[in-house]
Amino acid sequence: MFGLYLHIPFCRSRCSYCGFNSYAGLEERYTSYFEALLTEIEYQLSTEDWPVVSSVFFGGGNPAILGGKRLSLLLGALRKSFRLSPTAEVTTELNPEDATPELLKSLKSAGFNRLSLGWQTLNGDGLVSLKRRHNRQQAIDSLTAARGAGFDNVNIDMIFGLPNQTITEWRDDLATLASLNPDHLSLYSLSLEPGTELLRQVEAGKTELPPVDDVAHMYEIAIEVLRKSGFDHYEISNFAKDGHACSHNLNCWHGGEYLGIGAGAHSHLKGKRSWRVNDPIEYIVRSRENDTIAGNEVLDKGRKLGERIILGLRLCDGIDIGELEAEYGVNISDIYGDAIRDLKQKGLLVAGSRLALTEKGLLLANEAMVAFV
Amino acid sequence: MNLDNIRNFCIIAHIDHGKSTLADRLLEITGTISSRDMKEQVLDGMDLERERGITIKAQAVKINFKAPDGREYIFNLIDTPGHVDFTYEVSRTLAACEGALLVVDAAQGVEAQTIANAHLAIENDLAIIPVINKIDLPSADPERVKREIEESLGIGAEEAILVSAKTGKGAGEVLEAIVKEVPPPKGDIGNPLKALVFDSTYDVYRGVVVFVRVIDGSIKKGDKIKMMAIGRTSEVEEIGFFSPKMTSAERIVAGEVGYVIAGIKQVKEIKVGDTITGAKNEAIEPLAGYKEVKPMVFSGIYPVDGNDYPNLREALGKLQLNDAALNFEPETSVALGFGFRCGFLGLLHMEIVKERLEREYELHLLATAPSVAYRAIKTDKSEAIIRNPSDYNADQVEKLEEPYIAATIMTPGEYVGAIMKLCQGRRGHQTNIAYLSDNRVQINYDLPLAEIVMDFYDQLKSKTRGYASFDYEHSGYRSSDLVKLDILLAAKPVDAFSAIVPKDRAYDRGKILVERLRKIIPRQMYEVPIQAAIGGRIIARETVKAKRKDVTAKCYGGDVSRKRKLLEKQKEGKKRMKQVGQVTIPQEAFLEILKVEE
Repeated sequence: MFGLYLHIPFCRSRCSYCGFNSYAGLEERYTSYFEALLTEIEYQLSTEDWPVVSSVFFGGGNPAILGGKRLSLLLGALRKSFRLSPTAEVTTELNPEDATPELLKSLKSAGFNRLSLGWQTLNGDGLVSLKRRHNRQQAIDSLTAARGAGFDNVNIDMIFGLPNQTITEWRDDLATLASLNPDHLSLYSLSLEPGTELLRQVEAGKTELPPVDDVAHMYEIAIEVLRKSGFDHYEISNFAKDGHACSHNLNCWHGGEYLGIGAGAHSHLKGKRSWRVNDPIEYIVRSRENDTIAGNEVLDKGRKLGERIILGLRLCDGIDIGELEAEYGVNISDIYGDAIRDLKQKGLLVAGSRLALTEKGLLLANEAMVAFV
Repeated sequence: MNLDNIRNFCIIAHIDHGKSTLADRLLEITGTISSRDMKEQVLDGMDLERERGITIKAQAVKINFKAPDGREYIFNLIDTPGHVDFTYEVSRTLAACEGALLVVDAAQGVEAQTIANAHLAIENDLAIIPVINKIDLPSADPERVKREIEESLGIGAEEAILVSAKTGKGAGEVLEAIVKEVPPPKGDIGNPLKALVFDSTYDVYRGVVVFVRVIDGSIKKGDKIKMMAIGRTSEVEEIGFFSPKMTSAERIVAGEVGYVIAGIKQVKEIKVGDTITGAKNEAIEPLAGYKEVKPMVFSGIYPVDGNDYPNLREALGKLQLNDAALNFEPETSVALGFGFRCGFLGLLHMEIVKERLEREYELHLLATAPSVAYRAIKTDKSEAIIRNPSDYNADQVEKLEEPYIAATIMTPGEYVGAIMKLCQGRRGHQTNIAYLSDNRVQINYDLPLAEIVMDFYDQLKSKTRGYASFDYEHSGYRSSDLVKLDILLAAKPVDAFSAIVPKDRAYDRGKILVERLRKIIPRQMYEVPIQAAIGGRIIARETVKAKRKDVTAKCYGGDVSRKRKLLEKQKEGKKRMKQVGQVTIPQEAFLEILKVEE
């Protein structure tokens, strides 16, 4: 498996919770950034013999801000530099306010076959407090429009644990989601990221988050409700229907290779992790010299193994121990025997032929993962 | 030298009232030290004293002074340690003198330490010369300060010498006053040797250097001498004076001050206050005033990393070479592992030792809440000293006694109410209150030592915006109604949290402690009950709920490195906590026990 990730670090405005590499107010840079991406994509043609691409993911920021035509051109450029599998999953993120029939049609005809809609919440007050630019109805309409344009693989991003959110409101959101029948759901627990408006508000006492026990309960409710509605809970934050698990993200959790293009994009190639400069303007300048890598790290074998376990534990069916032992030529219980026993005893882990988190362990994943760093 | 031409004196003062600066001026104008060498204060300033630790503290400098009438005098200026923890050492230093300069800041006036030291000087029958320093300050008010001296000490201060040690103004008058006011030493060179040990220091090359004041007889190289209290004999290898460097001499005689080196390897082999006599021609009676100094404050000191235990033992051993008052013995805590129960003279002493261990020996240490030495009278009338609260078992104990102090507090009038409230809250009993001048009040309290070893001084400073000063002396044991308060985590007592507290406060203290611990102890995999108990009876309970959620959303854009670094940070954080049974306790928890709220 080999994935491509393309980052578009622009938004019309900043959402209050957002700690991603994204910038508002850089409209005059869109064209040159688009050109920088093209340069970088074309440059890859000359660098090495890339494997067949199994997934493509356009993320942001807000990719749609570049417009359907440019997104289509970027995907076309990728097709020229790389060999895309005919069955490749090709996703773009999309905000409801951008999901016009025209854009959806152009994305579809360019070859995008999966959408990831950034709804975040269906609660009107919640959308305001997150400073999203759409309302509840626009969110629901965006799914209808996507279906209308022929997208049969649509994900919806949701956040729980929002300021003032109650368990009842969350249940309502989940019921609505289930009835709308998306193919995939990503549910994230709100985290306060450095430098965000939301963090400042909470620190200043102007905004209050729900108690952590309530947030834990929201997660448990989600698992229960979505399972009953036919979703497969396949990863800590992800739920899929009818084999619509996201193959791009699965590749990451399986320790697979991916190439990231764009400001702040991460790559994992031949055992090396690297990342490009975050600042889009710096990225534009450095792309001309094909010099956009800001840093990299190569882990020794032991830490690499730990990282694989950490990533694999995010998946609900965990890791195939035998497979991993064969790949690394080690005996897992020699290295992690004590830690695994301890975590089993705490009820966080099950270990047979596979190593996986229990339901309790999913909520306390970091507690378990710490044992493997 | 004729005894009539010798003057032995010391300078007593509150911190920062100018003791060291005045000493420098005296050394300078008598030519004892050239001004070229006067860049730094010769006698210890407070900072330097702290830097050097606590035992290299007193110095005795020999000064040659030619009086205006042409007569030549020898002055021995003996420095005194500057803190309450060393009251006994101060009293022995004073016993080596016939006179004292009482230095008071012309702006700040009489402070608690001024009073404590002046009382010691009066007890030792010293001639006291009041000196009002810093008269060059704009806020100087010598007349008010004179009144304060008279009111608080009953010493006539009309004739007090007005000095600016900084500029040198008045220093000459001080020298003349020493000649006039300080009586020459008495003593008989023909009597058997009697020399008072008033301090000692450790020299890496020569061993212990003993500071003495010869009262009777004489002492010279090769003499066989005997320490009367300890009963040890040794041979004098070297004697001499400080001028101010160590200068060896033929002999020192009655009335003189100097040093003796006699093959002593550790400072704990020599006791301050002991009398040195001749091994053959022995004095009949030792000098009065000797006592064995006992540590008053105890704390368990543990390495954060258990592997540092041997390093801690070695470091304590090295400190003890030069610090006779420090004692330590191995101790094992269920919660903290292997460490040492250390005994200190007082709080400053404890702070200095801990700071030196951490700074000079690069150890990361965890100190338990300081405790005093309780005295348990058992049903069979035997006595036991309890240095660690977790050792106390109420069975078979008929009566528990705790050490008390007599405290002197000096304060501007506006803070009297706050101070009284503080002292009453600490089980204090007021013994005296005196208004020395319009805005200077002296308050005396009897207080249990246990009440001040925690955060009394900090509280006093914060409630008086730093204006109050405080000093104390030990005043013996008194019976109190005390109980042991235990803290249990997950139903197991954590010995490092045990405390001995007044019975009528135990309930409140227990409640506050468990509440505070609940806030500090992070949520764990299991629910952790925190209980306070007295003799097995639970008096307060809080619960740290089980951790429910600790999960990071996703690896944005494939940023696995960040995720791993966050986990690494989390792991590091865990390492810094102490694992006690199933419960992980952050280090702050052990410090939190120290804080007592009103």
